[in-house]
Amino acid sequence: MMQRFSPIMPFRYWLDISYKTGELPDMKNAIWENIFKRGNEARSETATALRNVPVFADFSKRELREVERIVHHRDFKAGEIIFRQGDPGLGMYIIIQGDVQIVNNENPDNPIIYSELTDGDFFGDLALVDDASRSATALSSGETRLISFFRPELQDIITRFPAIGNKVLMNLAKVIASRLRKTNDYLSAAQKAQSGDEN
Amino acid sequence: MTSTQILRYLLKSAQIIIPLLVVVALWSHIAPILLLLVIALLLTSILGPVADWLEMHLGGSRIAAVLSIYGAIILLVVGLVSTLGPILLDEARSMGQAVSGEGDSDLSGALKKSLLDIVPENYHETVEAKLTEWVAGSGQFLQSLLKDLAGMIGKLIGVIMNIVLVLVFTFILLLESRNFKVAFVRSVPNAYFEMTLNLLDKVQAQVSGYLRGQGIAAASVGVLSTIGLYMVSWIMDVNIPYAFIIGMLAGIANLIPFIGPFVGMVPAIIAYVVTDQGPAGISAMVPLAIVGMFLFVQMIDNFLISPKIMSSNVGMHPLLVMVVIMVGNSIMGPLGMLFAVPAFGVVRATITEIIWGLRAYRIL
Repeated sequence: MMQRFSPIMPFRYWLDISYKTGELPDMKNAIWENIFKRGNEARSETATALRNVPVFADFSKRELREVERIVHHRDFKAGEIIFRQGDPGLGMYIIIQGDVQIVNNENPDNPIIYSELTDGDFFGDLALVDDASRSATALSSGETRLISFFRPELQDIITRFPAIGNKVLMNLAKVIASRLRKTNDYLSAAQKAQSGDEN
Repeated sequence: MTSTQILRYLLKSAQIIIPLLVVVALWSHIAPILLLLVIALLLTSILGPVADWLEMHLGGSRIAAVLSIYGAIILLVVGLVSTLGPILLDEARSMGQAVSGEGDSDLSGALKKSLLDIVPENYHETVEAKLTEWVAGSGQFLQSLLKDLAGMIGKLIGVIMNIVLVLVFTFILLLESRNFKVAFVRSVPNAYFEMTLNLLDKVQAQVSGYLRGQGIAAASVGVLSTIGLYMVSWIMDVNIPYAFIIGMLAGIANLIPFIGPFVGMVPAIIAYVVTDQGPAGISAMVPLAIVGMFLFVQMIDNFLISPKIMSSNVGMHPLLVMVVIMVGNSIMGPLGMLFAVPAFGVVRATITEIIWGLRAYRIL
């Protein structure tokens, strides 16, 4: 498979050859190798996590790279609050690793757990569209690593790369449309059940 | 608490305390650079959206977008200096000579003559005394303004160095603003992460919108006033000198609400009254036309330009404007008067958004 050219490629090639020929026996494990690796690993981890989300699922490598540049990485400890119910909504989170509970704690004595999310799941995506208050609290239930993609970043992408921005918006609209259809199905099922009970 | 915990706590505290102590100890050296950085940040917030727009049209290359902006600025400055510079310098020189009475026309003498022609004879003494007092007063104001400018020219090398530094800072900020933002937000604790990002975005949008709006409004008023003065001269077939410099002055003074419009109006009327108008003489209709023209320009600014470009309601009470201008004067003299209101606008927009954020996230 053809590899895309990058400025460090000749150097890496030289490093690999030198290592194989025994000229530089210790260089393979030296700090240089780590620098190249660390960047690629972090990128691939973010790219993989982004690809799991329907909003970015059909993105090309180049498009993903632009998104990767502006997302934020956060580490949360167990029990730490990611956002509170009632806070202004700002955007979505994608779980790279860990567990998150979505909780309604209107009644602090009797919190209702809406959902328990884990690696690859995402939440808060509706906040990309408007700044309505968060409808629930997101709580980290273990050591959790997240990526956040917020409305200002989406607006930034729309301004600089309208084609990518449109793709995000279209995918977001598809997610919302699919949820709306499901809600309609639930509603009509509930209405049918209710009318059946009345008869 | 074990000794390891104490050591860890001390090390953590030292990470904050030592840099703070260094900043306090070197404050006198750091403050001027911080000021330049703030100016660069403000410039970045104005030019940022332009860079984004260019980046979109230049295939996503940020460096090409930023270099294009710098190229355009250089071209604009060279173009303005070479075309409008001579006109501006000529008008400024002849105006300066007229005020001091050194040149062909003596502005204060001609004004005195024009007024004495209109006023009844028994008031001549009072008018002369008042006029002498006014000329001395305005002379002092001009002197202090000139002293400010002379001081600035005296420190020309320093000024040029500072301008270069601001341009370099702005270049780096324009190029790396996203990376800086991500790095800055990374250091914010999780509890304030969303609030900080939300606030950064809102403050940036407000400040950038406010400054860009003020700049566009000032430029529009300047250009419209100059065209307006030329049109009054042409339609009424009279001579209103220094139209260009008065128009530019009106544009810059537009930064000061309420007072700004008069800064253009009054010198234009004086320039007309004291200029030899030939056999037709001075007509009362021309000052009225000048006032009407400036009011029309203000109407265009207030009803057409400002509502379109101002991102938020930045209306200020007249009393507040006066206080802010006086504070600006006491801090930086006449230049401070000019920039007091925009600086206050920036600080106010920032504080408003911070208060909004603290309330929305239930910290206040």
